[in-house]
Amino acid sequence: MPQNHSFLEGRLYPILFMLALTVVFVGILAGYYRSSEGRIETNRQETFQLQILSLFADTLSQRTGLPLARISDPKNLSDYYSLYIHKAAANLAAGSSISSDYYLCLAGKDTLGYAYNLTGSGLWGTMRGLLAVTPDLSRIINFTIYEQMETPGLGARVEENWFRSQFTHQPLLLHDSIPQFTLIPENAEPARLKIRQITGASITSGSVLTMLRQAAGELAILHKDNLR
Amino acid sequence: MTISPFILFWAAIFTSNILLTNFLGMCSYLSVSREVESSFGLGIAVTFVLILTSALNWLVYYYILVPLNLVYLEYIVFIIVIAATVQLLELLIERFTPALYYTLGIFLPLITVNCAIFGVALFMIIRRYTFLQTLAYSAGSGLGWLLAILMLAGIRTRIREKMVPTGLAGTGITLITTGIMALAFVGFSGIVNVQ
Amino acid sequence: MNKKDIFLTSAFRENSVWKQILGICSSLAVTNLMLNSLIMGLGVIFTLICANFTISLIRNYTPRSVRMMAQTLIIGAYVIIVDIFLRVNIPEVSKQLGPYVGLILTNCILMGRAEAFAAKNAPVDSVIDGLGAGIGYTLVLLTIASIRELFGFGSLFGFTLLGSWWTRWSIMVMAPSAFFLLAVLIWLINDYYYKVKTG
Repeated sequence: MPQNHSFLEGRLYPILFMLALTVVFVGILAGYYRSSEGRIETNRQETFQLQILSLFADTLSQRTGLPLARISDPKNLSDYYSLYIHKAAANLAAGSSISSDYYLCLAGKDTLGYAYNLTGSGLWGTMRGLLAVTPDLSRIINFTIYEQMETPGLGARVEENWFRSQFTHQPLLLHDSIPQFTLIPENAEPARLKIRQITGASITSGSVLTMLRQAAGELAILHKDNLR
Repeated sequence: MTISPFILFWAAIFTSNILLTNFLGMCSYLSVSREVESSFGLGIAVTFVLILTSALNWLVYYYILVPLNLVYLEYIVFIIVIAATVQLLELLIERFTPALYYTLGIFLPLITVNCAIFGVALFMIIRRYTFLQTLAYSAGSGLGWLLAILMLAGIRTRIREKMVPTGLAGTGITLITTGIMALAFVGFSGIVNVQ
Repeated sequence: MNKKDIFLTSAFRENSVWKQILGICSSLAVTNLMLNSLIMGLGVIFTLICANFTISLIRNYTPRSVRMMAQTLIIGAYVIIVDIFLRVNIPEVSKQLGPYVGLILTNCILMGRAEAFAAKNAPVDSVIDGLGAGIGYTLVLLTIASIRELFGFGSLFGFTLLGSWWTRWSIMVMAPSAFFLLAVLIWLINDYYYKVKTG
């Protein structure tokens, strides 16, 4: 259409065009995002809660006689989580590496353990972990890294089961002294206070130990304060 | 848990070189590295754009996107900021150093889609850098990219006179050279933390 | 060009990675695991198809002066859609891919196909071109990843093939191996696939 040719090449049309395009696409994005926002948040929360529950799965299974698979089943998450896990707030100094929200694992009147939310620095970004300890803070029940930005296949392997399970039953606070974990090669024999590092990811492995050591130090202070 | 901007600057050049460690900014790197002069010019242009856009994107993210709950639009907003900055740079270069303008040619507007620039913006958000840390990291990344492309240009000038198998000529040998450079830079890793 | 030709050209004859040398950035970063490469490849295919289709659809109404801006906006929108989709449905992979999903936006392949094909051709043809380019790209990623994951982890797609007796090749997990493998791939293809053309 000849009349439209000058309109198309004019100054007004490109501006209107871009405006229309922007409105349409931002509208689509806004719609898609808003409808998914809820699910992303729910996913995140459920994953977090499942992780806390899994930390105590063994202990709970022994105590209540429920099969391990049933406790760890995501379908039963809301039931068992509300039954056995309670959130509390601790009084911590500013800049602490431990979040003030902590979690108790309760079976009836007995406290089976505490879970703390730790923050540390890896090679590429912040690392977050959950540390489950016995009520007297003397032993680690379980430990897991749930958020990290390390290299996939290298540092990111801290999330693998073999690495995490090394911390189970390791001592934490013995007479208020912090244990000195050291790194050993990946194919070495497991031993008390010795953590097999990830081959090629010594920094990330070391960062995990640093995070644990710092948390242990703060827990020691907390423990002493509580006893007073 | 904060790392000094000064250390970030040096880390971005050596231990976490945006190109040799994160693979960002490869396209123009492979094409422009034939000549040392144009490599230098492009490297300086990229550094300039990096610092400016990272600073702008940081401000836009924390003062516009976050308060208005529009974070999900970050990709589009960032690329627009980068495109506008590159357009501005193009005008400035054409006006003040036309020789550079003609040497760089199409690669000047192509800075807009340089993964390194967009990547640094994304990294600074993920790692939650402060404004000062962002400036240090982007300046370091730019200089790191410049260093990598200069080294490659120098090596390619030498290779030109050697006999490379036909199948490997051009891209192939460039990639192998880059791989060896990346291996060398792995030796720097772990000297500093970038977070 | 008929549909089959368009597909074969964009997937193999003019493959974005080994012939046009585009899209290298993400190629190298995600290829340490096959699963990550597959997800990244699928994300690129989806974005390519949708972006090519949309850009082709409005190509006659797009003023020349804002052509690149419009293309960037459209590609960016689809990348965000992929990102949100991954975060909702496969959060673990989304975390592993991290910023590299966003980097699809600066993946030269997308802008390249949009400029070279979608801006000048019919929508259906553009979809086929995008599909071909995406599949060609994904095949390259998977090829490199298969070597890297097999020798670096002893597994393929997470299924362990080489047991604990295998000493993992750390270099295959680290960045430089991707450069070497891609170089070898280009070398092999230049020597064997294109031999017919140069004689």
